[in-house]
Amino acid sequence: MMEENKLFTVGIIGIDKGEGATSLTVGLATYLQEILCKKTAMVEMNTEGEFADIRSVYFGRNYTQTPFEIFKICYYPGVVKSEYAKICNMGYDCIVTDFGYQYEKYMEDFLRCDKKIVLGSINLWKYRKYLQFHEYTRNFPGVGNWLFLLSGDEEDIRMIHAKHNRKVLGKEFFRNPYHLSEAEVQYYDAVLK
Amino acid sequence: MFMISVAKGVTVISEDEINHLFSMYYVQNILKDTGTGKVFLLSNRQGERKVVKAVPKNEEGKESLQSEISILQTLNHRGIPRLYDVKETEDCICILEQYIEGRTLYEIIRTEGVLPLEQALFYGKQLAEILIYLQSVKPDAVLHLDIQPKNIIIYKNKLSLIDFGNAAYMGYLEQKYYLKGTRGYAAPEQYTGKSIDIRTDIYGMGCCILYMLTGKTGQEALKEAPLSVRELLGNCMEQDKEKRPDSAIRFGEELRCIEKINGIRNHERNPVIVSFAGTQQRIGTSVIAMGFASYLRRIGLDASYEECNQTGMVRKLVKYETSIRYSQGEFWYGDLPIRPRYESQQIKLTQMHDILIRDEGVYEEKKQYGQGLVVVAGVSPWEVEFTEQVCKNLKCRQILTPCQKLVLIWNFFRSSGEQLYFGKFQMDGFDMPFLNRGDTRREEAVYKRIAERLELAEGNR
Repeated sequence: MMEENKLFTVGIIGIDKGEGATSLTVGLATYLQEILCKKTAMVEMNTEGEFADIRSVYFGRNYTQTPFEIFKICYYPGVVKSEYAKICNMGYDCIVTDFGYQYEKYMEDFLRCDKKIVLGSINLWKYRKYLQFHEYTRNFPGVGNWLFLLSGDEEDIRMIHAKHNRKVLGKEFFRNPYHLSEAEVQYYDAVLK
Repeated sequence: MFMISVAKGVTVISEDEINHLFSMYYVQNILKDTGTGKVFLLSNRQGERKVVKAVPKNEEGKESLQSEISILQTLNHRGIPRLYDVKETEDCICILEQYIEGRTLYEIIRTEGVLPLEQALFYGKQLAEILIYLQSVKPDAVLHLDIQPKNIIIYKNKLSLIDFGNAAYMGYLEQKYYLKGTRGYAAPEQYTGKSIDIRTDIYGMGCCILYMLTGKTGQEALKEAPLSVRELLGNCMEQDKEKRPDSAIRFGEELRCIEKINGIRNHERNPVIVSFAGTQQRIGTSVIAMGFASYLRRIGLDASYEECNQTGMVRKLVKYETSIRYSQGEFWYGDLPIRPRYESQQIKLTQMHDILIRDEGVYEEKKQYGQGLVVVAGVSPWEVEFTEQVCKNLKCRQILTPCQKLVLIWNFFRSSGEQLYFGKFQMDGFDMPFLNRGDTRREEAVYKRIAERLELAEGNR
């Protein structure tokens, strides 16, 4: 019997709006498709409509096809829960899902992902939101294995790692997630390690 | 006549015997004489040098040498000596190996002092690359178990790891006695007899990088190491192997992170680019390009393969060839670094190798190619039309770009000879015979001619 390739799913969730979930989704999917040679799909499971924006900018306003492909990566805009299982069975090696920032709404699907990435900030004006997320998830099984990408200075990140026993990396901002150079590849190597 | 007699009748070997055993070579020098074994430097008429290790057939030396033979036979990496031949006399086992020119890390540090951080990281990455290779050997990873400065040779910025006398396969560890590592570099478990695995070599690797930076080893020397590497090297040298980095890949990634944090630029090179193109599709261009890149690595050149065509061969290889592994932006197919074609032009990765073999697919008149261009041409009746067209174009190209070195390969030539095609197409080319599996000698001969025509120097280490 032919051995079935195992699907690898990455879930990305933001603690607050504007943390860069879509940007990281695009960057990681590009890395998986191009650098690691994995057949990759990107799923938008939130109501932001950013994938539709990508489509209209890239192909023009009249283009409405769903899903659409850019650089061989398949984009699924505005996916609802009932469609997700179908996408998982379409023969992809990897699926990267952008859950946006409404984490309570999408937590169930996020928990199903193999690699769970949380984007947030621990700057003074964002710390309260981080603590809220921490309180919400602190008793979730396996939360110690989630990867937190946080913006803040190194000392704060070390503190979070020590105090909350979470895997933490500094959040990197790349101007263009479609652009991959050594720096981006090294960063994504570390994220998916 | 030069005669060596070793006490207790262990071995008697002379230069004459070595000359007789390896008749294509003559003894040029004796590199090492330990009393029980000797290392001879040999040369042939073309000036090609090799070494012979002669070890007596007593139990101690024999076990070590047999282990080295069985392991080196399976290895093929530019940073590891190649094994060419094994001969026996009544008293001795002699192995003919690649001669690796250069000085040991020990000699370099003793005479020139410690290395700056940038250089230590540069060599550290090369050492990690060799361990990545050893750990990827199938079906069993190879452990060196004696990584120390006297077993590391550096020449023209290239690092090699020698002396596999203590090496073992992961699956056969229980059959061997391992207290043979070098004091100061051997991991604690080599003394205590606890289980040994790939992290045992990571201990030795950490010690060697610390030696590059401080000229010393041990926990005390760690305090003298630059702050940025102290934690990593400390982790490598942990008494408890569970706390060490769990693979050479992880270790290499950590070294790169340190480079980045310290603002050390990658050792970016300006590679020699050799383009391979075929007169038509499915003419064997990719196989020949990849084979040639592998050949260059076998003779000691730092070559890599890059797919620049639409076939998606590398992606298929990565998917179905389970031995291929990923490390830091490129895949390793055995000893050969390969990269796929990227769909997006916004992917710009640093070129880390001296020679870049670009597989360009079908030849195009207006396309820019590298300093070298190898065109694979079909000579079967149904292929000749394409070959004629390309040959006409190549003549123009030779006039327009006279500096570009051009090699034409008549692929799957059967019996007519190069002269026939020279007459037919007015182009000088080489025959690439249809090779049966394992016919490496004929294959190597063709690759050697291509390398000579492209003026890619051999064995520059």
